[in-house]
Amino acid sequence: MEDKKTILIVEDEKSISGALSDKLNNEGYTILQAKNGEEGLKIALKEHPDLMLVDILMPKMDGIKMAKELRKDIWGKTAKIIILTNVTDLNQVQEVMDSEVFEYLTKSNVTLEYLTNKVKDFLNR
Amino acid sequence: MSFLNKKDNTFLSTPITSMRCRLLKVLSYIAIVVLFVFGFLNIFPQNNFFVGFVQLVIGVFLMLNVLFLKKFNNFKLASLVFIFTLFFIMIFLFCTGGYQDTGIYWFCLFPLIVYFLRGRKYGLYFSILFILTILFIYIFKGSFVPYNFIQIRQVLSSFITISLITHFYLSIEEKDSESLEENENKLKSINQKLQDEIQNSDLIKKELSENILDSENTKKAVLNILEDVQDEKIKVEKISQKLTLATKSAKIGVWEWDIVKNKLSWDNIMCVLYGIKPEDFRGIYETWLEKLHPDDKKHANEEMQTTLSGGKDFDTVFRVIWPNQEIHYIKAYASLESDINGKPIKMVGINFDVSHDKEVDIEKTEFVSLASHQLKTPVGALNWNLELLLGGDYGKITEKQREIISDMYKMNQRMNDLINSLLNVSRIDLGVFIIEPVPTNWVDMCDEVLAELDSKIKIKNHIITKKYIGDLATIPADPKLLRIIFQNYISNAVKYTHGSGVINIIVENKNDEVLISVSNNGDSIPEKEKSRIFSKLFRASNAQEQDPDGNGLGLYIVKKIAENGGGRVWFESREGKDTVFYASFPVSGMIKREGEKVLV
Repeated sequence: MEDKKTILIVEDEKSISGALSDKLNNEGYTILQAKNGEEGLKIALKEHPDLMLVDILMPKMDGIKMAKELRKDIWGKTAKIIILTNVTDLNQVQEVMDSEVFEYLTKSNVTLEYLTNKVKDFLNR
Repeated sequence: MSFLNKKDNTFLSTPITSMRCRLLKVLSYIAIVVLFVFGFLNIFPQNNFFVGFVQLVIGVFLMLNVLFLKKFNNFKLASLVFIFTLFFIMIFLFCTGGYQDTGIYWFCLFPLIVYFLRGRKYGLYFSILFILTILFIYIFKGSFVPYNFIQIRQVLSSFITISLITHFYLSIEEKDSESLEENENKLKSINQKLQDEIQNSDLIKKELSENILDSENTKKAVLNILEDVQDEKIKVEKISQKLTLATKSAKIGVWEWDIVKNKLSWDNIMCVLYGIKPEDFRGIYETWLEKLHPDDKKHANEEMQTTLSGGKDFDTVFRVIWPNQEIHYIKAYASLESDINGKPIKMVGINFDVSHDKEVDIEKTEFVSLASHQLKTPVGALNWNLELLLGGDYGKITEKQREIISDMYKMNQRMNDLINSLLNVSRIDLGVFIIEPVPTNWVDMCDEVLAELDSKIKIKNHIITKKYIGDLATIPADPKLLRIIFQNYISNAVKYTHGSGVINIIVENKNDEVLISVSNNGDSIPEKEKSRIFSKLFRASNAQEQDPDGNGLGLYIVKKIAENGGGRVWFESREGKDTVFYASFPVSGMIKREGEKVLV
């Protein structure tokens, strides 16, 4: 069970984070959860997950801010992040686009199946 | 008888002549009376019939002469006739002895009469003629004349004396009258001059009055013009008042820049728009520039330079920073005035605050963004949870449950599509959507969309034919937008073709354009609805029957994408044959469009 990957889900909407974690858990990943950017940042820096799925619009600290803060950390600089959002405002996303370890997905437009495949790809990079 | 008719106006015109004329008439009347009296006396009491008869005849002759004078006013002739008649009577009486003793002294009257009637010259001639005639008759016919030499000597001496006295008297009088005449002539000439002057002055007066008339007319014209000008002035004032009212109420600032002198004038509203007091305004171009937001300064200045070089009117939006650090959005518009050589001399423009519009725009965009997030979150959550249920992640489900959950899942997909479409339309209508063309393989894109729709195509058992003509591997396009076009055209063809239909897809690079055409042999579009097929929220009546779930936004979005990307869309629909939708772009690809939002 050494190679069991850890995924941190940072999402304030319980029904979404619940569905995500159930699906990924069934796929055999270890799931960590946070309800906002602040909490997510704290857990991420402590646990160093293999991948983070981060929402943008959240209370206390949004996903963009959290990603920026992470990039200041030595580990966080190369940590893998998938931004999961419904916001399609390009300006907001542009700021964190220029990273190799970054993906941007619109939640309502992708199936869980598709997302699971993406996660698999990402972890194998 | 022209000489009779010749009126001697020169004679009559002088007082002497008219006096002589009257004298002639008086003498004639006296002579007539005397002649008639003595004529009758000679005929009847004395029985000297011949003399009496001659006297009566001469009397009648003199009467005729007076009538002649009265009628023709010819004094010269009448006076000569009178003098000669008198001359004849005296000679006749002298010869016939008509004079008794001293009667011959009546001769002395003759020179007096001639002198007074005709002046000195005639007086002298007739006196000499008379004396010579008397002397001649006496010398050669002495026996015939009943007077002796002593009598004749006395008469002639008296005659000569009277003649001489009269002659010298008249010469004195003539001098006087000459001087009088001279004076009169002088007066006359003066009078003439005066008359001329009067005439001249009349002319001048006439000219003057004409001039006055002219100037009156000119004055009238000028007054009319002035009145017109006044009217125009009032009109202009009214317009200016209205304009001021309009600019004031609309809070439009007006400015004018004298480019040659670099003198910038602002009205009070301009100062209000820039948050400064009128007295703090320095009045040069740089004053304006330094009020601008640092990020907008370069662009605004470049726009201004373009306008100065005659490129186009100044039409831009920039931010200004007020002294209290408030930021305001200003919409500016100005046009350039140049001299004959095209050298810019003046620029006149307006400014108004569009901060509120900008705020509303930002609010709108934020609202759409927020609404989409709020709507999409539950839809997204439902989507994934239903997917988990269907996938058996939460345990085995019955067939009935699967059927219901599957319907819910599809319904939720539709909801998601609708939200995406509304979001796209709002972005299109707000003009904030981006077109970001990159080299794109149009064949791959079409195949991808076909693969996505594969299940639906299979359900309806359609036959799809594809034709890719020419080089389509690297034509610039925004992949997301190109996908939307293919997706709409192909899914419509799938939806609106009855089972086992034929759908032909052609993508070709030909004649400098890339043409997409998707045809199907389903229902044709009703004739009267053709013009509205690309409009927002419109659905053809037979399309509604075929697929009640369509949202009527797809073709509108396609049309807007094509129009904004430099292309165009159209369709052909023939009753009983086929319906073909086209989209065409230049071979150079889609045109880039700056914006804030991508379409989904």
